Amino acid sequence: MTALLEVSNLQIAFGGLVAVQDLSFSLRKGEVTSLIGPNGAGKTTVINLLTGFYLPDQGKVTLNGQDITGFPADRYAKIGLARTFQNVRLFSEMTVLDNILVGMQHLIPYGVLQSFFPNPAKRRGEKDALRQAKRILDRVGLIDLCAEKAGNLPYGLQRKLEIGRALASNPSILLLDEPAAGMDPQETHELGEFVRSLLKDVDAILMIEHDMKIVMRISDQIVVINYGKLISMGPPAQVQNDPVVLEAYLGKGATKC
Amino acid sequence: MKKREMKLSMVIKVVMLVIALLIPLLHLKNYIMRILITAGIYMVLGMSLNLVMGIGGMVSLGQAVFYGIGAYTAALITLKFGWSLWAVVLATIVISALSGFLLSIPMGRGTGRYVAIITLGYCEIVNLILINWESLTRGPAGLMNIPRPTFFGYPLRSSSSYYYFVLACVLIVYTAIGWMLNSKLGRNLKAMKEDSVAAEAMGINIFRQKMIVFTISGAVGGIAGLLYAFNIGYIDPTNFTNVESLAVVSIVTVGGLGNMFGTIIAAFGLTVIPELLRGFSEYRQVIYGTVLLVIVLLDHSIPGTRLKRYLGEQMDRVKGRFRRKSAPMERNGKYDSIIGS
Ligand SMILES: Nc1ncnc2c1ncn2[C@@H]1O[C@H](COP(=O)(O)OP(=O)(O)OP(=O)(O)O)[C@@H](O)[C@H]1O
Ligand SMILES: [Mg+2]
Repeated sequence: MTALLEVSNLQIAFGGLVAVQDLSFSLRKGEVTSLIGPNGAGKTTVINLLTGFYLPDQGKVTLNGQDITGFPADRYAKIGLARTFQNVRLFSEMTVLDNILVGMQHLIPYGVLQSFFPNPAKRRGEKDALRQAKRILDRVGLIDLCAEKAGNLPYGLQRKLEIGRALASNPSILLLDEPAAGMDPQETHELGEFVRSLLKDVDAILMIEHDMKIVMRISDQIVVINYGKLISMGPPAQVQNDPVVLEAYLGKGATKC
Repeated sequence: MKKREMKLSMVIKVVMLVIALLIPLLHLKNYIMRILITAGIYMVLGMSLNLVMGIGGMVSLGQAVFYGIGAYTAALITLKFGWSLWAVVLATIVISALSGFLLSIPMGRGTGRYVAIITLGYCEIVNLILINWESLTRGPAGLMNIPRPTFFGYPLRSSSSYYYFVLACVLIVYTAIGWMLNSKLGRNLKAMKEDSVAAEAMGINIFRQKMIVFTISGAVGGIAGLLYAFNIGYIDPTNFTNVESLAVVSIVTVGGLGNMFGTIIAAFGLTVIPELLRGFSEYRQVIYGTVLLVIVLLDHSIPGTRLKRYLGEQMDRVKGRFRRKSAPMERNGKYDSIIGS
């Protein structure tokens, strides 16, 4: 179990509010790590820090031992970090297929000038991309809807498509921000299985999720934060019984339910 | 219904192209040919602006700058060095693309009004340079006697031959943009316009995309300038002011943002209508303004959505079928910041 992504002493403040404070954890190869915590705990902020949308005040992030702290946001896709958004952010006027193709754009080799006229490099690039995109659409179960406008999909499928778009960049690490939000229990259950199965496609997964059932079921490791600070970390069985976690979620004096 | 729309617009385009190819055979008056040539030049200029506004999602109020730079480059090279047409075309594209690239640098990550004001200022500055750098541009006096170019040994002297030259340029620009839109670059640009945050997360460098858009737009605008310079044979700085920029903005707005075919129709309409109105010279501006306003208020694009949708609906009605309108899902968070919740 080697650490793939190592987060050390990460910190950011917005004005007076310290949203993430001295946070350290690591993602290991072949594992699903869940990042949980009450509303406003700073979970999304962590993903924004890991993908260059926010610049940390302090701390360091390394991927395979290489420092990747504070790169511009567009570089993370190229080094193997792909994310989804808490509020689905698809290109909703574009087709399902085009969303996937945008996700894999940095893997399509032809250049800007070659876009303007038919040529072998473009033809080959587009053909390979299309084949790969179909494979991913198959993976997320959207192959039959590939010509549909992304904005016309029902909510649950939009979330699936967003995961597909992230997968399309061929990441080593997948960062999912509440992938089950807004789904019914049945859909949530299926999504949990699906997320776990994604370990076949990527090396490690960091998932923010409020639904404790799937968190407990599919995680190898759980990181719990509150007010931006780490309060507990470990395998599900351990975190589940940690009094500090129960207190954070249920208030003082709570006992195990 | 998507297929039908596509078929319909294909048919319309082919018919229009055939008409356009046949027009010179009618031996129309020179005056009419000149209007059509002007319309063609505005088609190219309109498409160059639509790249920035419709595809890149930025407002440019100074598109005349590329028009001017293209015209002066073509004219100066022809007059001073007498290069062949192809060399002039190539040089014009390079220089005006470069001017587009330069314009994109100060934009950085700026959007909206910021971009609009910079483009406006850029055009004013270049115009001042054209007026004041007399040793090169001959200042307000302008450049005269620019000879019509020779195309494979055939001088484009008659208005019909020049008409075909302009038509070829319109077709090439339109087709190349179409190819681009269906490529990686086109998808990335659409993605950037829709959601620049998500686009960045997909590895798209927003600044680079903007540079690319302005560079291409500069090149295309420069071609329009070249066509203008060779057409009239005389240019001066007043031809390339922001008055011209605004005329192009109205062409793009009427034709529909992002709709290149719409730009072509609008460029034609907005060039021809004022000429038709010459008889009513007193009311010309009023009528023209009203027509423009009505078009924009009624619709954002003439041929793009409304008309096609209307025709599509009529065809469906005839066949006694109703189209299912799929309601787009209300999606939360489209305008939220990336912090979520
Ligand atoms: N760009 C920002 N500017 C100011 N405050 C911010 C910004 N981003 C996050 N915050 C604040 O940081 C805190 C953590 O926010 P964050 O979105 O990370 O929480 P979260 O754990 O994802 O919550 P939720 O479960 O509701 O999604 C909140 O108090 C939030 O208001
Ligand atoms: Mg959140």
